[in-house]
Amino acid sequence: MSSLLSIAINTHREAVRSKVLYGCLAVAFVLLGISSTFSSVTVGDEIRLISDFGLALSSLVAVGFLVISGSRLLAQELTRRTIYNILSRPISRTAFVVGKFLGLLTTTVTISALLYLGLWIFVSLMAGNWSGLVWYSFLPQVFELTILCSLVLLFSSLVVTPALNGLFVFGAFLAGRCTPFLYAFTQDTEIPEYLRRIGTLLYWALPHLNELYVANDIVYGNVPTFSFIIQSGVYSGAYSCACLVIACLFFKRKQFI
Amino acid sequence: MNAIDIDQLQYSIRDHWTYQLKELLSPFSLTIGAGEAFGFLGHNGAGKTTTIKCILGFLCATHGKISIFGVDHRNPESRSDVGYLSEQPYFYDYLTVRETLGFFAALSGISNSDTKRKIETIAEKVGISARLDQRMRSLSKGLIQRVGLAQALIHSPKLLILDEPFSGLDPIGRREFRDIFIELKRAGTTLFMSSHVLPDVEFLCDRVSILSQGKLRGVFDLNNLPSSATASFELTVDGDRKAIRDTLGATTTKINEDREGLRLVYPSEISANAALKSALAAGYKIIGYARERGNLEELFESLVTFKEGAKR
Repeated sequence: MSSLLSIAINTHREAVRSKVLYGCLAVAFVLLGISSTFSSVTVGDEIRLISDFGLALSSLVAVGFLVISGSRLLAQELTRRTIYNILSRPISRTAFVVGKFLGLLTTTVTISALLYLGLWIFVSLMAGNWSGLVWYSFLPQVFELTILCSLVLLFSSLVVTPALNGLFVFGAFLAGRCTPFLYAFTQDTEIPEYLRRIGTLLYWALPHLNELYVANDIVYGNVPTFSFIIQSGVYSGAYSCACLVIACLFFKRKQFI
Repeated sequence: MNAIDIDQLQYSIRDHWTYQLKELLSPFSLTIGAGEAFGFLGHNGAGKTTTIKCILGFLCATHGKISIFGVDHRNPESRSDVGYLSEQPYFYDYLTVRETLGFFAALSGISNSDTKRKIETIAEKVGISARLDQRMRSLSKGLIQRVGLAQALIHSPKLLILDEPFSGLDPIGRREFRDIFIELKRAGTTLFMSSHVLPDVEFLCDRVSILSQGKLRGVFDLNNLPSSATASFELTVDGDRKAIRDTLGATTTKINEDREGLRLVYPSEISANAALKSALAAGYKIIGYARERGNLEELFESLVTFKEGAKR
């Protein structure tokens, strides 16, 4: 257990000391500041526009960081050969993968929390009152990031190239956000049967990330219910566990030549 | 209990395009006793590092069994008492030396309360005390090698696996490393050292094995090296050097000339004795006559060169 935590802490430390993190945060805060200028084009809806834009931005920046930083996570261990020293210790490959996952998740959630904090302060200053409405979408976003972190590890254990890994994760993120369109596709009777079957398979295999993106409801004051949070948490946990199990199985078979 | 038991280890890789198996390690068995210093010799590409990677579980052996202190090597617990120093140790360059050692201490199960003391002790031992707060990226190759040894020793392992441990070290560093290894050997630590620097191995090890082209050529006791394959007889004489060459040089394998005289090397005792009689009869000054004992270098060359020559 202590080995697993050490790997998680070290993964977190690596991310915190990289320039990618600060680059992502800087871009997010600059864009958030700029959003106040174009919000003036709407009459009476400035705060809603800033909140909507800010929440979308927080989500995108956290995912962007995850894709850039996470896709290199295992590949770098192999190319820099740091993995040899680690696996020569009494630590299983499963603990290594899970430790990496926990470290990446901790960092990504920290970034997300910082972005939410910035957004909350900014929106509150603009509105003149300290409403915590934006925080209602924080937990669903954490669930979404958990799923994406597990996908990063899954693809990392399958492909060695960081660019390809990043592409797969970002592809899964986009596809996961578009699952309602995929569902509509599978319901279209004019489409050949085999294509609809493939569509159905993909619909169930892809993470339903659109369900976890609740920012659009929140800006109109519709906060998620407690049961929704529980269901989302269970779904996210189950999906992530499945991805991690597959990732560990592939990683166990890897040969470090 | 043996430190390492290798039973019919074989490792092959499959070619991605032709899908044919290429054997990198032919089946061999090897036993390294606890407390022994064992040299694992071979030329570049002989399969030394591949064997070490199989022992540590980085590579999955095609056939065979390996156990470390009686525990199957696939079980992570088998590595509890193992320290490993790779040929070119790689570390996270964003960490300081202290953080690096702390990280490996934690991975080895050392408690937080002991870690600080262990780091100080081991840093002192390998000569990196002044560098503890320096980032890894700012260290030279030799210093990184020292950090590599420090992380391998931080949990006081019973078995130390060293892959070319002296690479990247200056002469002082080599001597310091040798002293550390001698101290560890005296303390009962098993040393498994892969190298192609023979004098270091000859100095430190009790037994050696020689690997060539993935095949184990033999296991030898360094106190009792076979000399028949490599023995030769050297006759050193002085006098009219041209005349000596003409009368005694016919059956020699090698003639060296220096201030003392001519050193004539004969492949057998019979030819050497005949040359000695001729030299005495001719009245040359006999400086010396000796049977040369086989050494590790000659043994290594005879096995590796002969086998590779045979293959060609």
